[in-house]
Amino acid sequence: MILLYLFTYFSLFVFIVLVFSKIIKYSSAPVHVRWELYPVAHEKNKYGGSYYEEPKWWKNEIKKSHIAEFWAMFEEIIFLKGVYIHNRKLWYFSFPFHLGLYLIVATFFLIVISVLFDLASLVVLNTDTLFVGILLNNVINIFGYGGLVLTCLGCIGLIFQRATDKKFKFYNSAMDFTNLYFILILGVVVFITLVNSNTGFIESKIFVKNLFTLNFAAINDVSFIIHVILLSLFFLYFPITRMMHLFAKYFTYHKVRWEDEPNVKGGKLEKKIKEALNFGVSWSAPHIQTGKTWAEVATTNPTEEKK
Amino acid sequence: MSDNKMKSVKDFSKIQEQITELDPSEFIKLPPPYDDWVDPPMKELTEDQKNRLEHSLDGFSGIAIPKPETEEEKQELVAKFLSGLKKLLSKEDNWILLQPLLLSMENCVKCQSCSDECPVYIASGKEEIYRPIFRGEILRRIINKYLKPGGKFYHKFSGSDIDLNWETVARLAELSYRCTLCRRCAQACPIGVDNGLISREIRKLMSQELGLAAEELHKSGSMKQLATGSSTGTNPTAMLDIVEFIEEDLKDMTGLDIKMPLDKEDADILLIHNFGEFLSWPENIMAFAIIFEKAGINWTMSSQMGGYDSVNYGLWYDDAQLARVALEHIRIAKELNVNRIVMGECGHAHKALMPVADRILIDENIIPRESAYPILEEIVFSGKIKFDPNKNDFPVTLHDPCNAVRAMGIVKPQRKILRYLCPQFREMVPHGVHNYCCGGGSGFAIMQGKNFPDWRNGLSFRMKFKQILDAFQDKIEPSTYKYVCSPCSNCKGTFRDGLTYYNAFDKAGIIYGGLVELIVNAMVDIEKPFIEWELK
Ligand code: SF4
Ligand code: SF4
Repeated sequence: MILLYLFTYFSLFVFIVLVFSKIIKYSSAPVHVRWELYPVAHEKNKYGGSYYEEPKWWKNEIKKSHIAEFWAMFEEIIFLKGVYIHNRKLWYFSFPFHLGLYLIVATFFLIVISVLFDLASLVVLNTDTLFVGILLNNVINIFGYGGLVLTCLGCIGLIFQRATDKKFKFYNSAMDFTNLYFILILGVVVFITLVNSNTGFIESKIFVKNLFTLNFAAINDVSFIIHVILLSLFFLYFPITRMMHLFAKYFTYHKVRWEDEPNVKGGKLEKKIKEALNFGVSWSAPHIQTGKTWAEVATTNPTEEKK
Repeated sequence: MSDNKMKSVKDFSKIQEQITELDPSEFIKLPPPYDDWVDPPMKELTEDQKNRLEHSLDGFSGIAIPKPETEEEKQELVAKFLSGLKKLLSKEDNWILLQPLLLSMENCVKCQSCSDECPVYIASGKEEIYRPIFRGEILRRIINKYLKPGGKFYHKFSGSDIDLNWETVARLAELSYRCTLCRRCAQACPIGVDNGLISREIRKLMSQELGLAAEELHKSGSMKQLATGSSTGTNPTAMLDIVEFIEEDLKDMTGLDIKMPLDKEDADILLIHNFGEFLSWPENIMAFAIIFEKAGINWTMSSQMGGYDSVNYGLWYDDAQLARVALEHIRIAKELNVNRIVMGECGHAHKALMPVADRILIDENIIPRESAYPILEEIVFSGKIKFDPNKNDFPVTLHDPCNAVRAMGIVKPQRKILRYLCPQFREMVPHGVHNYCCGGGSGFAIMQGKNFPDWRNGLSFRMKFKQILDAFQDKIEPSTYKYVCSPCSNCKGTFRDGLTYYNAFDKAGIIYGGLVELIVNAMVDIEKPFIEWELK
């Protein structure tokens, strides 16, 4: 049994390391040229206007609406607004699928919270009579069961669409299906455990508590063991797939699409640009004149010898 | 149906013959009076061109890639492609766009939300190779298979295989020139993946490593600009002659004796035009001069190398060339000691020097750069010039240049002017930041070699032409003259060729022109109509 616990620790550890390394990879990329795309959510003009619409814009204070940015992100993440507008057919399955996953993630965190409360003697796992405990249990049940149903239904729909729609079929790779089947099988197994002996996620809570307390107690329910193994495998698998778009989306929006910070003399950006201009260039087409820094390449006229 | 021979993505590198044969009868249909329009057959390459040049993508040659003669040559080019690909993914060689590129390469979930937003893909009747994700998918598979550890082994089983051979490289190079870099697809992507950027980065790899680029952009474009002062080849002496010529024409047309201010030090504004305006649309230069003079603006233009042509084709294919040309513009502004640089009516010049070059400027090179559109708005509503909007009482619609609008958010000023000065102004659908590209974006407007103009006029311009016709449906008869306002030089180039291709003046009374021409046409002081109703 200890192996099951160790495997769970291991998969969680690898998951965290891989997710963080991806985030570090994206966030440590050097400064890049501006490549924003309007509408930029924090701009005050909802039709997509920018500060460039003002004469002498550089004299004005540039105001950003963080609320508008947050709202745009919220609509996009929770409701998949982009898919709703541009790909309605897909949205009918993608939306429940994603919403279901969010609910499952929320369930996971609520289970962790219940366990922490239990350890702090604020509630008693699943047998609680206190308001907080009852509330937690009910929310966990609603989110957990609802999330599972939505995810599985969405998943079936997405598999069906990918398998039958010409525009998806042409690009399908094994991994596209593996992701979906993996999630579907996992969902079905969790369901079986819920019907079996994990009613109200009690086994899940006890297992998480055991993880926290290093109590490697035996588990008798085979379906729950399979559930834990599959979930651990999923944690290992997730970071090597395109499902990482969940985290990448922050960067695509905040660091590219909405990134309109002007470069001012003596500012932080200018410092980063100076660093980047000193990177060496090894592109080998003749006009580049390789072997110099970017600053040198940019100030070299490749036609000069010919004149 | 177009004759596409691919059954799956990996066929892109396997098929020996031409991948697809376009069938114009599959292209989107146009509204009246083009409802019975039958496209002329698209021009084929000559036998000699077919023997010499790569054309196995769709039969068109945008960048005239010479066919390698030997197997060794092919292998050498493939090896170069791979080395370029590594550089594209390296911090030192590609800090300029590394983060956006990595995000786009690693996170496409193939949801296809972008497909129907692409004017080229839709106008072609949904030709698979033009689907926004197609080129990115090829590049992604090559990276995964050839650059990632264990990739060759893994991709045999993953179902996302691709072979890297000379055909793949050549087709991918051509394919990067079938995207106008309009970024409508990126706008639709829920993840924020930018397939336009991927096209641009493929072009960059080809240019910066293999020395492959459209001749009009590189050899006769940015290289010529760095050598002579303008991508048109006009040197400073010839530039002065042309200005003199324009001044005379201006006097003939309007009776105004305006001397263009050249190389005036300490002016408030250094105005830089796309030099194409001087040669093809001098009335745009005149109109700017009239407006600025009447409004009492303290402005100048430059006649010095590097200061009189705002074009910066590097934006579309090459970072080094982009930086070099931008720094030339900055050098001139510093020498003249102006307060600010103002971009004339040229979308890509706006984007190149304002947001993009912003991140290559340091110290004294950080000089304010602005668009002419808000300045024109300020002048028009300042009361300094008297207008009679009735002089513009004909149907007008507005084209939004992707680079100034979708990529920079300059949406309202030009509309406010048109709503005020043009009683019959109407919007296209969609418009503003959601507009369709003119079809000549990313250099297509100036790519006139081989059979490429047929591809542009018949296909990439088509969606825009449909929008124009839709906007004018209530007055579509040729006897009612209509004006497409295009505040961008490159877009005007596309309209010139496209509208001529469809004979749009004779069939529907449509011409095109800039924004400033409409402003001057509405001026009370200018007696004769400034706009000439002919397709130039
Ligand atoms: S680029 Fe974006 S919209 Fe297009 S398929 Fe990929 S994830 Fe979907
Ligand atoms: S950038 Fe424009 S032309 Fe290119 S793929 Fe995207 S939508 Fe199509």
